[in-house]
Amino acid sequence: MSVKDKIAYLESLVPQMEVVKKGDYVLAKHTNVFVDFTIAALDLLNELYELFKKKKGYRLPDVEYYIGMAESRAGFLRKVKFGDIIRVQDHNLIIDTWKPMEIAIQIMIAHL
Amino acid sequence: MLALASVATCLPAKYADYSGYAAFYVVDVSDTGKGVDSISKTPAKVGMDSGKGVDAYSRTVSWWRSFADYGLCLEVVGKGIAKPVWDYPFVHEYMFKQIARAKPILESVVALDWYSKDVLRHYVDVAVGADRVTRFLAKLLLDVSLVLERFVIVGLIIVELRDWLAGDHAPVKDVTLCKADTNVVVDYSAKDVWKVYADAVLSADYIRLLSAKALADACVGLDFLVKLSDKALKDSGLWVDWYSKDVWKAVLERVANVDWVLLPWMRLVLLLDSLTGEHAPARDVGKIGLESIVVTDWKKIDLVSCLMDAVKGLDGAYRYFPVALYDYLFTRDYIGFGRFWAVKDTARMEELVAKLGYTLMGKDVWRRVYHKVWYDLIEVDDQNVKIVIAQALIDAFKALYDKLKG
Repeated sequence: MSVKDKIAYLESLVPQMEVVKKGDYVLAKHTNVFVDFTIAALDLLNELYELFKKKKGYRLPDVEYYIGMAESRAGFLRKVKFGDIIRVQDHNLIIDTWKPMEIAIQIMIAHL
Repeated sequence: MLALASVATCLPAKYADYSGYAAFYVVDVSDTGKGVDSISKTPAKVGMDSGKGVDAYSRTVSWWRSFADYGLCLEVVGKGIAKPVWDYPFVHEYMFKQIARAKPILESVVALDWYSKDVLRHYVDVAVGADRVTRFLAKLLLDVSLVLERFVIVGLIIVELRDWLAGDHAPVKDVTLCKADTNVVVDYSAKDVWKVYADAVLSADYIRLLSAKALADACVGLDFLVKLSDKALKDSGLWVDWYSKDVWKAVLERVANVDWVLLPWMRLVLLLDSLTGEHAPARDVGKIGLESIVVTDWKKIDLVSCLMDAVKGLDGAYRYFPVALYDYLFTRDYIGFGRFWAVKDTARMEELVAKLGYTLMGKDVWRRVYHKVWYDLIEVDDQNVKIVIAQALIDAFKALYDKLKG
């Protein structure tokens, strides 16, 4: 998939993320769609960093550090199914993975 | 507002409103958390210290993550899968000793690689061939073995770090050697070892000043853990108990080494003393702090202000402690209730770190903790804010891509 396709895929996931309110049921898809999003976003981030290196001709160790950190954390993500307990780490791992991704994006943008 | 034991089902597991519980902590803890956020907005020096906090966070997560998963291992052992799994750590102990000598790291890692592949395959074969081990247990064995492998890798880092700290300046050449050897195994360790190791070494000096004792104790606990897992886990629990009892004392000691946080922290101590008539807040500081908030608005404002100041100064230590404690508490999920009473005693601190927040794409997000009463607490906002952040991440990707094209 091209970068545009990957971005389009991420955008297609957003409508699947349901806004909830107090009293709503907690469904497996609530967690799973974020897991799918995180993995796809990480893949896209890696590809954008490759493009960055190709364009600028040098590496950014900090970006590699944060991408590595995100990959490490994403390795603990899990998909859930009907009946599974949604645990706090299901939530924490997602935001903990997004944080280094955000920082990596910011660093690359600052160098462009 | 909160979801109790959220279950992915249509069974009646609804978001419940525990407003009383939330109100109890929101004044103190969330304001303190916001103090952490404000650090990231403060330029220059504080920013650098925040970076150190990230280092500590990364290292801590790695260590405790392994520890947490190790809890899963023990649960499996407790169910009676037993001997092969028990043997496995003992073999690792031998390898661990080899690894601890630093020089033959590469050989040890190669052996580890062989071990992980060959033994795991053996386990699977045994599991498939013998009816007494079901397919489910075979998968657990695989998971456990993989976790142990990671555990040893992270343990290697900590032991190396301990040796480095204990040996003062002399082991610099060992560190260099280890770095070189570690470089060789970067591929094997899937990028993780080198990063964690580098973080540990780079921040060693920082740790030595701030939390050398805690780190040394952690290493001692790790040794036990490798030698005799169950006992070691209890020891680690005791260590956490020590940590919870003495954390404020330890924080104060650390503060004494950092001049630029001494004054605001002393303000907090003096305030607490004036409120309680006792010297040194010790383990009741959280309770005292909460009670003091109720006393008067003036005290509330001043205490929160002092806490925020202290958080600014204690960026590294602050993040190191609650994240580590959080991840340890998270392991209770696997270990089960009642096994470690010492951990139960940390409930007060658990409450103190019930919310640990930061900003993500400009939005406030909160890490959640497993709570002994409320189980897995996830608020409605946790779900909804992630949707906003996901869209913001996509926008950021687009902006980056546009710049790359332009």
